[in-house]
Amino acid sequence: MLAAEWPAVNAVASALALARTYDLLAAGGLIGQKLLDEATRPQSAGRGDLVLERDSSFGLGFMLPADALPIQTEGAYGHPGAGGGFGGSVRQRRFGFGFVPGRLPSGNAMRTAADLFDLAVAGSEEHLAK
Amino acid sequence: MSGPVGSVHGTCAASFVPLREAFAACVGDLEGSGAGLAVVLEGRLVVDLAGGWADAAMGTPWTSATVCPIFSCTKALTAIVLLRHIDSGALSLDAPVASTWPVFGVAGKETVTVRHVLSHSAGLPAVTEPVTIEEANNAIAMAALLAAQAPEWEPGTRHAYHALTYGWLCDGVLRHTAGISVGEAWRVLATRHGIDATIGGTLDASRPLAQIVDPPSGPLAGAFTRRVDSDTPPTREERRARLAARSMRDRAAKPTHPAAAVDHKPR
Repeated sequence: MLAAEWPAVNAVASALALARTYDLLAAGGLIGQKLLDEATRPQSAGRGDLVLERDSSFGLGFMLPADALPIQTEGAYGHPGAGGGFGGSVRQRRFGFGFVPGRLPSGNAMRTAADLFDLAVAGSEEHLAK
Repeated sequence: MSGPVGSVHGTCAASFVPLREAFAACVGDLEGSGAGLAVVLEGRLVVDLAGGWADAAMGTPWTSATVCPIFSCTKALTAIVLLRHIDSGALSLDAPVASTWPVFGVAGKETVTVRHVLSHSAGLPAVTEPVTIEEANNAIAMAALLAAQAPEWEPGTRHAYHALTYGWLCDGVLRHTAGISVGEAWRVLATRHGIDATIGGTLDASRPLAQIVDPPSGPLAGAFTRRVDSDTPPTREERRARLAARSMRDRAAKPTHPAAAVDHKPR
C-alpha cells in the first residue's frame, strides 16, 4: 500500500530528508519568503479540534504549537506523524529538523518529538553564537 | 555499524550534546526498533544521528540513510507542492476550489477555498460514504467522493484535523489545476534537490526501508504493515482515527486484507 498515493499520510523518508527539506524551505529555496511567512502563521486555531479532541493550530499545511503539538519554541512550524516522528523548522530562521522513529516512543510520544525539537533549536542557537 | 540497542552513532556538533543525550535515551526506549535524527542549520548538516534497529529480526541497524513511513509528516511535503503552485501564480489561495475543479462546487462547498483546504477548515474531515480499500488506494476516486459531499460546517468557520482527506483534497486541487498528482510533483522536486523522500510509487529496493514495529492502531495501520492484531480493544487514538476515516469501514471487506481486517476489529 505504500505504492498508492495517500498524500496525507504515506510518504517514506529519512530523518535527513525531512531536515534538508525544512532547511531548504526556510532558506526560500522552495517557495518565496512572503508565502512561507503566511503559511507558517496561524490560519485556523483553537476552538477545540473535533478530531484531535484538543486545541490545535494550523498554518497552510503546517501544524503550529498548541495543545496538539507541545513545542515550546516560538515560531515553530512543521508536522508530526502518528509514528512519533516530526519534521519542522522555526519562522525567520534557516533551520531544518527531522526525527523519524520506527516505533512509537512510549509515554507521550508527541512530547518526545517536541522535546527533541526544542533541544535542537537550543543547540542551534548555541552553535550560531560561537 | 551494529551495536546494542540504545547505542547512537553518527555525527553531532558540540553544541548539540544535550540533544544527542536525549536522542540516545529515546532510542534506548525503542525496543526492537530504532530512529534517525538530523538537524540542518543554514545549509550545513550539524546533527546526523541514528540508533537501534531498522530491522531487528534481520540484524539491520538504523543508519542515517534509513527510510521509514513518516505518517502525517507527509502533510508538510504535500503542502510544499501545493504552495509552490500557488507561488507560481497558477492558483490563488483565496480562489474557490471549484474555480478549477467545477464539480467540487456543490452541496455548500461553493465557498471552499484553497486556503480552507490547507488549513483544515474546509469542513470535510472524513469521507462519509463507505469505500473499498481499492477506492481508498485511488486518490482520484477519493477526491471524487469528497467533491460530491456536503461540508460538516460552513467552510472556514471552524477547523478539525482532516487526517486523511487533507491529502485527497490537496491532490484533487493540484490535479485539476496542473494535471499532476502530489506524488508526481513531489518526486520531481525531491529528485532535483537530492531529498530521499517519496509519496507513493514503487519503492526502490536499494532504499534501506525500516520495519515499523507496533504501528499506530486504527484504520490506517494496514497501510504500513502486514502485522494485524485483531484482539485489542479500540484505543482512544483508534476511535479518533475512525472519526477521521469513517470511510475505511469497508463494505466489501475481505478478511485477508490487512487494512480491512484492522477496520473490522471488534469494538
